[in-house]
Amino acid sequence: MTPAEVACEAQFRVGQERDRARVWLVQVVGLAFVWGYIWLVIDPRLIYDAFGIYLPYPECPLDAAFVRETCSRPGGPVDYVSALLSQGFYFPVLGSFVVAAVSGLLCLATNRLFFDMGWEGGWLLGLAPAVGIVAMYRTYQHPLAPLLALAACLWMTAVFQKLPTGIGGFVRVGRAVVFLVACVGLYWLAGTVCVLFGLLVGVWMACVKRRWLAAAAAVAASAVTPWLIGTRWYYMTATEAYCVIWPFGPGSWSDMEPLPLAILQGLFLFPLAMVGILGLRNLLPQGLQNRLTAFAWWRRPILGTVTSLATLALALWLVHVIVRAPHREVRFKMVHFARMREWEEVLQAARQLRSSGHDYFSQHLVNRALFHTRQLGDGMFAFSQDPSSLLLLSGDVPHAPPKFWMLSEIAWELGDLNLAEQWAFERLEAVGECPDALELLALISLRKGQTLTPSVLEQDLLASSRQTARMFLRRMRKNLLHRRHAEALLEAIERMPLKGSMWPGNGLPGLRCEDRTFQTCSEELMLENLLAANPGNQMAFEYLMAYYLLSRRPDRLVQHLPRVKDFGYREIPRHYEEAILIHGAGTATEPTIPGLSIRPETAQRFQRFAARFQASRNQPWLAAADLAEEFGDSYFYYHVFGVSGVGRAR
Amino acid sequence: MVGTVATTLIFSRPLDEAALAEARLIARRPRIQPEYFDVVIPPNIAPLNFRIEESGDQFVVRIHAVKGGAVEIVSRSPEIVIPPGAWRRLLMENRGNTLTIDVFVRREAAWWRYGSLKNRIAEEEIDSHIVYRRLRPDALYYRTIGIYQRDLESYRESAVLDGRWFGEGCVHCHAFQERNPARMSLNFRGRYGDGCLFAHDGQIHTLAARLGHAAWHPSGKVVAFSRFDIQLFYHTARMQTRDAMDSNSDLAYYRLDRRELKTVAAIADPFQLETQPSWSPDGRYLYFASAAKLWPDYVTFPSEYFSRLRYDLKRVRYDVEADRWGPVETVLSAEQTGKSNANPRVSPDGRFLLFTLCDHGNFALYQPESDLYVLNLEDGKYRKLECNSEFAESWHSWSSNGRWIVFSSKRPTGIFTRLYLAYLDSDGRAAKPFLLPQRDPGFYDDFLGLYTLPEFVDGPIAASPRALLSAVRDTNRVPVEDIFRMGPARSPSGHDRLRPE
Repeated sequence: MTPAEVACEAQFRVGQERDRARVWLVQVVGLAFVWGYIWLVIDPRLIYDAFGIYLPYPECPLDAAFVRETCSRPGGPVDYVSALLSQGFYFPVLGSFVVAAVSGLLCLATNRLFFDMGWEGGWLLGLAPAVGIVAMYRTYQHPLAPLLALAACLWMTAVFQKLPTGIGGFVRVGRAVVFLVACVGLYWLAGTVCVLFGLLVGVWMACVKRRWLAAAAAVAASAVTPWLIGTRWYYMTATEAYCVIWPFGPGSWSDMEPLPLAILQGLFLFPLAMVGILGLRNLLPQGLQNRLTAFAWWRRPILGTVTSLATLALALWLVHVIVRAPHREVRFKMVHFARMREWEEVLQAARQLRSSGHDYFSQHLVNRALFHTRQLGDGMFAFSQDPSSLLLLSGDVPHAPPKFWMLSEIAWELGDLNLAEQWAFERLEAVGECPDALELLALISLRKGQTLTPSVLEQDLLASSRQTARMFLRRMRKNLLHRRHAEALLEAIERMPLKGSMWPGNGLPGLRCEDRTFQTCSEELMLENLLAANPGNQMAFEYLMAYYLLSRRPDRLVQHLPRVKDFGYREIPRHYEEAILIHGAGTATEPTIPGLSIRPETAQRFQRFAARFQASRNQPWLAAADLAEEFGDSYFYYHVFGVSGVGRAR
Repeated sequence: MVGTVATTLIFSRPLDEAALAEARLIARRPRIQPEYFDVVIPPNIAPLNFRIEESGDQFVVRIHAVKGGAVEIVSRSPEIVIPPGAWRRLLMENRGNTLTIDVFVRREAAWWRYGSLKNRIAEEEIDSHIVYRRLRPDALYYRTIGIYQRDLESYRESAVLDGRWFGEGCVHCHAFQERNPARMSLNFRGRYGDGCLFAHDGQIHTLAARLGHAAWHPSGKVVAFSRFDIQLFYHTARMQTRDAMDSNSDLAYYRLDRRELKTVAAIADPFQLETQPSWSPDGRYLYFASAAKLWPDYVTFPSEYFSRLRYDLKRVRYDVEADRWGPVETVLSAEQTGKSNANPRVSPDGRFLLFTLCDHGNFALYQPESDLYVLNLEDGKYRKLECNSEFAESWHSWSSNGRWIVFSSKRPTGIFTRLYLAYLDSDGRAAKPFLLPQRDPGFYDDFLGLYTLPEFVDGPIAASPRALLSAVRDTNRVPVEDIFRMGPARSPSGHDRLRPE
């Protein structure tokens, strides 16, 4: 080679290295941005706390039997790994790293496929899956299992394409065998993505290797694999066999809102579509291919890097602005703060939602937060309310994981142990072995053993309640994150005297003493029983009053009003005053509580409300609109129109 | 578990016999879990692995009997996993003899020997398999219910039919013709509707019916069924939260030869609740539990009546060849026992009737007071079995030789049902029961499932899970009329006074 040629080659290599460095730089910056965005904007802890409530619970006890059972179904290994990685969401930095790592796996695999299809300049488009993943998490979905399945599929394809090729029959047979094994293995590992694997390999075979027969065979083999393995080996129906960790057709991953579902489906279709386009390009005459490839203007070093980063930033900014699910975000925050027992923050989050954005579950959390911040009697009608949301006992409330969690928690706080136990068990069965459900059941067992046992055989039953609690805690110990907490509780049980005063839950109000049976529990009966068992149960009292307010029965509220003094109120809560005034107006009486009186401003407000309502009572809808601004947060307004949380109060 | 096995193998080397011989004696028995001592065990049972609950850094367990060499386990772990081969040989050679377990524990560089644990090896073997229902406690919204079989001679457990295979379905009320694994029925409900599967002699067919408890006639020609409407309800302040009762129930029978579901007034009295059928071994009588319907309508149901609902044990004569039913006789009334008598099961020799006595209704496991009783059918005397506890016992089944029973018990937690096996002597006296052994001695420490309705069978189920599942999915079913709409005393609606909510 002449010195000029050597210099030219060296320059070419430097250029190549620079190109490669630029690609890596943009990719690393892009993934770092994904990491930071998920960590700081989405907050994986919100997702972790919604597991088993608004998101499926990722069950992964460190238990050989469970692993065996999970891995004995198609897609089980990916499900288990996904559940295991999901535990990382407890720590925001780790959870966001998991998302960024999965994004990286998908992007690199996509780039690899582009490269194998002969398109080296497609790396920027290869980052599209990362943008899609950010969009998914922006809507507070957690599709880790399908993303892992997709990554497994793409990497399997990339590895398969790297296998040695040859003309000899042995190599061809060998590749076919490897393909079949990979297809079946992928079905077991990750589910229906084996079909995608076959399609990707098929396109590659046809367009790059020009082996049409092999391509058709690969597609056909992958298409029948789920049917063959799923129905013959795993006893599934054909539909079930084709819907394992797959966002198309029926199945748990298709049970999403339309936008995130479309994004997830797009993520699955993207590599296939791109590979298809590239494959078609490969079929074009060489001259045309060269002209298309020559269009890669972004290869210019500095401009290319800046443009790439700008494109990426623009895509992510568009996702941030356009793709949103505020109702989910707020509900996730409310659940998170309720778990943290940060009740003011629960209310703050709730205020971000419009009245129409609240459902039974968010309303329920609002009332719980109002009670814990001592505002239930004063502020509940500043929020959207529904009688069914108070205790979620009504048949109108859908039997869903949020109900199981909320009902077990509120029943425990109120001191209704049997109801708490009933719903905690429902949660365990319907959702999975959530550590908080296990802990609650353990505490309920201990408390029941202490308070419910008859005098006969008391020691035996106390011992059995401990034994039961130990079982739940031993199970909880198999959870990666809650292991230590479970061990601490187990040790605490061992240290406790059989009838000690240090039992968990001793600070809770008393439970029902009188055993009654019911099929459908009524709020009133439950709360009155709790109060009868323990007249000092303030939570039961305030919830009973709230129940009377919500069910528009001020007469019953007035009957219970004298108890206000037992709980140390210095003044009558505002909504109680409003109910008294309504009751008084209807019955021409004025209930009195010695030492407490209705504040003049409440009485004046009632006068104003009554006057304005009278003026337009023949047109109730007009009246509702007119009065909302000033009285939308009052019981007056709720009592008349059945709506709350409207107007200036918002 | 793997660690335990490994430890056992690694340290299974000859010990310093002199050190063990000089071990200091502790004058009490070691604490072990499960409590495998003072029990009578079948010669063909899987090893009773256990955990020593004494502190120590090394453990030696010697299991020996009159004949044959001792089985010795040396372990650093207190979890003792007994080698199955040696265990089997020892038991088979020593039928009728005492099995002694000596436990040595090394603590602070010294060996300690505890008092020996003694068990008796029975002469009579136990049936090789049991079939049971496995589920989670107290859940109305079930996700994991399955019928499983367990090899008692090993630890092998496998699903017969799992509800998860057909969309979180429910499977229940399995029954066999005289413990024959080739003739089985079970019920299902879920995505594919309600149905009753019959697997017999290599064939499976499905009845389009919602049925409950089943009992195969010894001839295999007839299966008696109950059909019930369960009302679930809850207690506000009781250790056992959940309770249940039937608001309506009748019996019917299915003629396998004619593929016909029928009933007669004797077993489907509109004024009675008939349930839990069970045939006498000679097939001449159908035993069942029956209670008078106390309530006039559904409005007042159930709080006023549930505690007053008490069942009698009754029987009715049946001629299988002529398909003719005789009059109903009361075997043991609630008035006699002062309680509710449920779940009758006659011993294979026809001498004893095992049943549950509970405060009310027939859902015995929801009542901690429920106990197993045995009625001597020759003299009419009944007594409480020795194998009861302060927790609920129910769902019992006889082995084919009548020497073993398996039953569900809620001991020691009051919530989780476990299976216990007990030996019954020729006088119907039960030995101390023992917990169904598991390979992992700590299996029950955190197992949150329940076992109910155990049934002995003398081999693995002949029908494959695939075949049973195909039958569940197959909508080509034998059409039958609802039992509640049958019978001469019925109104056209099928409900004389009751209507399920």
